[in-house]
Amino acid sequence: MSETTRRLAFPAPTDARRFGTGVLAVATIAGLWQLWAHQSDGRIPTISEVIAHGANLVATGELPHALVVSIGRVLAGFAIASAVGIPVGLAMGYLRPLGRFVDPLLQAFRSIAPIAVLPLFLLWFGQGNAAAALVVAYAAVFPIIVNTIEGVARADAKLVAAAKTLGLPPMQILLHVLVPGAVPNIITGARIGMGIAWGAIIAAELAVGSESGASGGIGQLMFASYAYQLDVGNLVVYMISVGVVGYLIDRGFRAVIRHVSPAHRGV
Amino acid sequence: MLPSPGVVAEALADAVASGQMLTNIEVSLGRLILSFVLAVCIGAPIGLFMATSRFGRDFFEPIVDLVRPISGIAWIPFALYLIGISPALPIFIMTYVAVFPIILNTYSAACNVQGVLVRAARVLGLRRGMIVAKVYVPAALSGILTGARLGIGGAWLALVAAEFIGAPDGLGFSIWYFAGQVRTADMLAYVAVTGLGGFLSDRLIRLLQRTLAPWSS
Repeated sequence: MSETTRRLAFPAPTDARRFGTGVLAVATIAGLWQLWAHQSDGRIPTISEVIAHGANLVATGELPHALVVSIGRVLAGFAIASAVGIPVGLAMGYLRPLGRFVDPLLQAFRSIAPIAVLPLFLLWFGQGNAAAALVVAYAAVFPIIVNTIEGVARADAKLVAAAKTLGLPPMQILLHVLVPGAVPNIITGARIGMGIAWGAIIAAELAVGSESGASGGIGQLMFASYAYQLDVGNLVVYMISVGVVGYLIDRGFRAVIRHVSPAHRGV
Repeated sequence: MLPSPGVVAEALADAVASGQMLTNIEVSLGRLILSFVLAVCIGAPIGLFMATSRFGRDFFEPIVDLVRPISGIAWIPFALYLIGISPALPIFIMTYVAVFPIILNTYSAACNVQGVLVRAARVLGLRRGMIVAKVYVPAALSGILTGARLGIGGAWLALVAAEFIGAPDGLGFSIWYFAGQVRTADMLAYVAVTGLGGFLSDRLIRLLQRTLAPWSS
């Protein structure tokens, strides 16, 4: 009997077997990495060397500090993106003619990569935190707008009609019917935006890395460990840290969505 | 501080007339297409394998979960160390960025295939390879294309960063070259072209999706 039909006949495999295969997968990757490291004559650090570098970077406070700086920039940019994106999305979703009018503009700018507008922001705002935060805001604002529009547009027409029948003014309908209904979509937009923002801050910091060494975030540390010190062990630790932070941010948003969504299911 | 649209249009016309724009578009587009093909050739089979085999899912799921959060951009310095400044670097980064949405969308689309169809195919005596080719692939096609659309969008965004840091030419490189020279109008001409490219490739794949998989919403 083929694997395919067995899976369909017994859709729940035992957890132990699943766990075992997962361990095998991770062990395979780790084994390949070790093999590569030993073949490379020291060009590639072994896993134990990477762990030693990581412990050292945490002990000196370098890595936590850089992560705090980068996360701070992302949060600042993200706050701007939410403050702009949610009202714009609500307005575009609620006032259909306005939405249709602004949409081509939105589509045009959405296609332009955050990294492509970075040089312009650097020119206008200098090398500091402002340019970095604004690139993040630019990266995050589009998913927030698009998902907010969708959340408003997908509102239950019966609820809106009921609210109208009960004599609610348009502003009250927006605040008490449409906004609560759109919350799961808004959070989904925020989650997507945050993922893009976290990638964008690394790119922005890599790009300005050479100029603003001291106040550096994780991207600047990555640049320095490639360009000045050529410390590959540190570089791999930074890469893994970027992944871990990105993963944790995403998990956080998922938890919020799971928490919020049931209350709105069936509304 | 910000050149007028007229000045940018002039810069764009100059870049097109001198042939520079076309050369850069050719270079970047070639890399994008190659990365895209690589990503589909790697991602779609992995996604199908994950959907049709318990071992495939249990093996690849943790790997994807572990590696995917490391954004393509975070790979740039390490790739620079391994490969150096070369066309291979943006191709690696773009393939990496595009492969995950393709894997995940193929996987979820192939998982949604109706069990009745698979059982019917089995009853009719189709072998496993044929079931994958004749039942799962058509069912997953829409998902593969959705993944491809998301992947190519991500690849366009990555292109600007990857070519800026790691390639000797291309659209991304040109943006940063003109930024360095403070020739903002020329820079914006290239920014506009990358944006247009991203937009057009998105529309192209949507069109492909409507043509090849008209049953998808």
